[in-house]
Amino acid sequence: MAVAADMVMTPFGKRSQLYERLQSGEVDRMRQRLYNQYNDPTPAQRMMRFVKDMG
Amino acid sequence: MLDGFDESYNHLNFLDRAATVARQRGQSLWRTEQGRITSKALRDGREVWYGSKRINDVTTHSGFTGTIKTLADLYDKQHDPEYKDIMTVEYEGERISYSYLPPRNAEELALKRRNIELWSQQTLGQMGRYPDFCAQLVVGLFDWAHIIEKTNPKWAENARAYHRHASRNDLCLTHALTDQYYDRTKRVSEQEDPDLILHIVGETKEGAVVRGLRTLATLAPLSDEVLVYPNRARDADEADYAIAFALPMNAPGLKIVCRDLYAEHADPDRHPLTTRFDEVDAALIFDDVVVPWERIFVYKDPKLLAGIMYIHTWAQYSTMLRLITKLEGFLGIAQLLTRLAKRNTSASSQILLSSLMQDIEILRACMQVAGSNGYRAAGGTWAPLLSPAYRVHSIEASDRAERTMEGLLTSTLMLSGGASDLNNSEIGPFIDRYFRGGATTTGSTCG
Repeated sequence: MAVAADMVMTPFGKRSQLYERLQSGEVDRMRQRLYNQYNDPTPAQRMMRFVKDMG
Repeated sequence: MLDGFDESYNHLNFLDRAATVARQRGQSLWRTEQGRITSKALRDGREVWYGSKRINDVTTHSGFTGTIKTLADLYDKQHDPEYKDIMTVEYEGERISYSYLPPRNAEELALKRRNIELWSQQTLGQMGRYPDFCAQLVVGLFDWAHIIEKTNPKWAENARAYHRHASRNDLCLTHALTDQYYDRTKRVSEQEDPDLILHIVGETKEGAVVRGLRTLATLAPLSDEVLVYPNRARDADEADYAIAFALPMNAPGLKIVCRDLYAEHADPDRHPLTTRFDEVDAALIFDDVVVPWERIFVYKDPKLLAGIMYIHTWAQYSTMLRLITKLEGFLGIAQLLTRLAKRNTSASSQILLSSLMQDIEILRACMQVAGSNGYRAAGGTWAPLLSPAYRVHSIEASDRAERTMEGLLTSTLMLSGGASDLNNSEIGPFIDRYFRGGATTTGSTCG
């Protein structure tokens, strides 16, 4: 139990969790970067074709 | 047993002289010789502060000794025949850590991954700033030198030379990237006190003079050197704030201010991770510190500096692999404890455990793709192909894992009574009887 508690309950565990969350910067900025880097037009093109085919 | 290892030898009792010798040679204070760690060399005059007191010797302070032993054991493993070829490699005529190897192809990246996983497993993934992480930054710096070259060949040579220096001496590094305490409504260069953010205040024949604060230098009290650069871009007119460099931790004027030392008064039986893996974070105050010209990689160049986060490519790979190991640790301890309490047969426990398994499997697949879709970076180094999606998922998985542990283990996480109580003749028998749970001995439940 001491190992489990030290993972999530103690100052060490809490700090470790926060470290994981912030280690690469703010996660919402990463989400924005993902949005800006995402360059696969296929899903939108497929749906556009479907909508057009609907007549 | 290590070659030439003397069982009576205590790595915490090395001669102070080792610090002077190591510094004169530019070697790592962690450099091992025939399996002997010279961690005592951390007595090098570095200015470490905690609770209004200066810690003159981190090697004997209870806030650090457990982590020093963990790192010393890991560095020693590089000399162990069982691990030597997993952890080190011949590179340009020298034996270096795989952490510092700039991989030339997919095979070498895979070998680096094997080393990363070893470091991670030995620390249960609990040390985000294990030395592999910053070593990978230097690999990134080595590759980024081709970009620096286009602006300033001297800085590019500094970057390549630093990779040679750090890899050949197996340096343990930290990094400091964050501007922490300042008025967020004003630009970097428009702060009421210009020194709140690290900046250049002068030049000498030996180097640039810098002043100000930079955080969050995890492991700084135990590191050989620090890599310093900002994680936010500077504007074109903020040239004095645009600098990237490396510096020894005992540089005159460099003050290392520690956060709480969790291990200081911790009982190893009750805080087994704290007392082994606490990688103390620190704020660095640069009080007119001279940075040698040959240790500067970017100088008064906001445009070039804007691209420096590229050097994190290999370090991110290391972080992702380490985090998988950490999640595996969560899963492992959760499996053991639910089994002991016979909770593993309940549907709710199985569903919670499966969420941990799911995230581990997804992240393993991400790393498999990152490796198999690797590419040759512009500087010639082989790089993993990492999507921000992988990193975002890993952060969400880490948060989920914490909640999963709480859901699985509930109030038993609020530990009262531990393995150390067993040693008392008065309360020990009661602990032994009532804290056993489903285990055959109480020690295996409490520990």
